[in-house]
Amino acid sequence: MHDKDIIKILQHARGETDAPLHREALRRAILSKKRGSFAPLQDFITQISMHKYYLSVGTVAAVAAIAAVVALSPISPSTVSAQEQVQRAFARATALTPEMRAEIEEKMKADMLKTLEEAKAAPDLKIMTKEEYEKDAQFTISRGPMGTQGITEARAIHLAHLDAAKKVGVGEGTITFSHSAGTHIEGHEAGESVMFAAKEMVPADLKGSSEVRKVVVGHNVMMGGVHEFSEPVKYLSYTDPEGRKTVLGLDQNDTPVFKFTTLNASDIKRFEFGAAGAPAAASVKIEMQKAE
Amino acid sequence: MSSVSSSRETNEEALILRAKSDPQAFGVIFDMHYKTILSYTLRRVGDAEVAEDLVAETFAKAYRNIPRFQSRGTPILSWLYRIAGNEVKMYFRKPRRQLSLDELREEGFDAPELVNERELLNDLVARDEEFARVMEKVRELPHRQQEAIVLRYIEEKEMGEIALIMRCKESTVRSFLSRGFAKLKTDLEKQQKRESRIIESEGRSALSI
Repeated sequence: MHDKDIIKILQHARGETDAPLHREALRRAILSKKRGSFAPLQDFITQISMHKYYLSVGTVAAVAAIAAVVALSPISPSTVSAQEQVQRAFARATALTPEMRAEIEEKMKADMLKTLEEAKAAPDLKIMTKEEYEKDAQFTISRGPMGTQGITEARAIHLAHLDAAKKVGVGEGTITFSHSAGTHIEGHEAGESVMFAAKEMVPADLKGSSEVRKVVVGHNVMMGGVHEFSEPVKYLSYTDPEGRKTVLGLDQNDTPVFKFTTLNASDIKRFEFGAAGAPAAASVKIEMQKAE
Repeated sequence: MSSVSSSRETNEEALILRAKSDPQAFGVIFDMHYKTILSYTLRRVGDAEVAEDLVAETFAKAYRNIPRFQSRGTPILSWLYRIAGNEVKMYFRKPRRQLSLDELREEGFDAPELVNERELLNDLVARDEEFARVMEKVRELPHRQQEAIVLRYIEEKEMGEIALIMRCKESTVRSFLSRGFAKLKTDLEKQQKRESRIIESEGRSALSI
């Protein structure tokens, strides 16, 4: 065997490996501790080490622990159930091949594992029914790829065609346009996602005197040609670390397939004027209120 | 020194300075280098479970000791490599921890996901059989020789950086490399011969049947 053969074999193994779950858990464990108090971190390290020695016993213990939590804890069963749902989604997400996960994440515009970590840590995590979700969202999620050119692209939409926009909610000075309005806009195929710019969406009777109150930005991979993933059948709602209401959709296999986030008021201005860094959106819901 | 590398060093120094008191800044260092350190330890020990343990120990020690860390031209990554290398050395020296079942029941991370992730990592390691065979022999070398070979040929480090990580002179690194590589080559050749003999004798047995 020549030296160069050995070197070639060694070099072949170059490249980086990642363990996102371990990475996130370890990061959280380290940063949440004061430098002097390392016992809890040691516990964490100990604990994750434990799993390899006592997996079978550990699984039994985990089931027993969940049963005990359900039976004894003041936490509502729905919260426990939502946590279990997140765990199943974690298992599913980590079982995906990196390529498949990357493909879904590209369409979701969200880091799947990070989103699940957020959901897991959220104190208000809960399961939402489809009816609750639709009532809350008030629009039909559309499909198809969406450009990431920001607000500029949306301005290409002709105002004239906005007449076709479907009003789905009127009252208390608030008009909510259905996202499905996008299906009526020239140049966009039926069902295609369209980005709306708040300024262009202002109808005649509100123009010049309205303000954007709420913008919901989300991304989905439903029916977007991603392998076997279908539309979401389960919804989890929670508040993200930045205080934004977020809905995470899971398909029938518990794969996260979309994430919708209601932007905070501070984000809306940035979105409205399409400043650099404005969120690229696959679906947008806009509510406008007539100024007093 | 180029202006780019100089600016990178200045940025790193500023980050290290912040990380001494700000956990979030340490988080940035963690994010920057986690994968590199995991990959390094995984190659060194060949087992995802052990590697994850050693990475956790490495970053825990780095977090605890960064207030006392003085760069003096040592990049933070070299320092992390050094800690990780020591962890690997200690792992090979002492038996693995034996832990109690009670600790498992404490709140924390869930087993199934981590186990699943580790299995994926172990599959990745096992996929390259040739590499696994060579690394098995590398692990039989004295620790310093192992470290020099992995840093040089897999991690692609320059001699100067390896010397910084291993805290020795470049000439010493060369010596570790040369002696280690010679031993590795001999061991691999012996193994090849042994395997050829086994195949030959199996062939003869088959013919006689």
